[in-house]
Amino acid sequence: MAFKKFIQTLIISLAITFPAILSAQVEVTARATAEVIVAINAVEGAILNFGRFSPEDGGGEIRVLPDGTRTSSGSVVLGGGLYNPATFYITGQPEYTVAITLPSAPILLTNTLNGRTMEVHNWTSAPSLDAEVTLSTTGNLNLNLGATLQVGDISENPVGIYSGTYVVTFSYN
Amino acid sequence: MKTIKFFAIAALFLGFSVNAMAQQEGSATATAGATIVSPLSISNSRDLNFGTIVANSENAGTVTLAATSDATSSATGVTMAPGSVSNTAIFTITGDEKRTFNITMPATVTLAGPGSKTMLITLAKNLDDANNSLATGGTSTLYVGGSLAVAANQAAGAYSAEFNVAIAYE
Repeated sequence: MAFKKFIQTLIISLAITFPAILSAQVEVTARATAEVIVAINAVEGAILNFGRFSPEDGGGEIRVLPDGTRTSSGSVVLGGGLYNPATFYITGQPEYTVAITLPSAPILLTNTLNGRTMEVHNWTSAPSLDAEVTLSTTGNLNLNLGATLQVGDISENPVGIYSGTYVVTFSYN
Repeated sequence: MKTIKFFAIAALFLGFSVNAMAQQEGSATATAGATIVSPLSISNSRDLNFGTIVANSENAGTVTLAATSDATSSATGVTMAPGSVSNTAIFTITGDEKRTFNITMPATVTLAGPGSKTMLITLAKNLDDANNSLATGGTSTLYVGGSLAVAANQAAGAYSAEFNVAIAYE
């Protein structure tokens, strides 16, 4: 008898307990995160400048290397004055890898007086793009860019100033 | 004598009650507990991560993360950094498959970043606010994603916040 009474008591007890569980709210905490990194930025510090020269009879090539040295081939005679590789100052997220794309096709420099052109090709940079290029711990990178200028003879490329533009792209890699 | 008997029953009752709650099966008494609704529970096995965003000096942007298992962030106005890793939050809900439940969670979460800078997430989920059924077997999975507002020139750094997800039977 006593046990039966106990069962009844227990069932009543359960009935009282469960509504509490039914209405109970259970809760969990989660974390939300995001990271923002600095946009990559590039500024041209110096314009690629092949300097002064004379093509003479046969023309040839003038090469400006990323380290600033200048050489010539063919009948080209190098002149005085300034010449230099292009320089770019890149800033961005420290220690991130940067993908740099140099012009894939030759570009033309044009003499604005007569429309004559010279071709620029064989772009090379320092640091070399053969290996991974990474921003410094302060998020900086300086890139020097050189190229080779193809010059015709004096009749093809008369005296004057030749200029042109090219595109270099920088992005996170 | 009467007093002693009373105490003995009380003690036995207490012990039984705990046992029935903990296991919900076993003794004859616990069979009555088969009509008992399994308690709801929710656990978090993966946090919400919008990934790595490249700040844009000119444009504000939005990063969207669909509320699915394997969604990853996509961005407009700003760009995702190469190699960015992103994922939705995962919550596992267990309970009685015959019952429905509702979900209470904030509509927005403000992420705190460097120098008191913030970004706002508008949360999204794969389940409804109310009237959700537990899948067969009594388990459902809640995925939480959303959209993240990134300001123009958003300060670089790590941003984070906590948010609560609560569930209850209806």
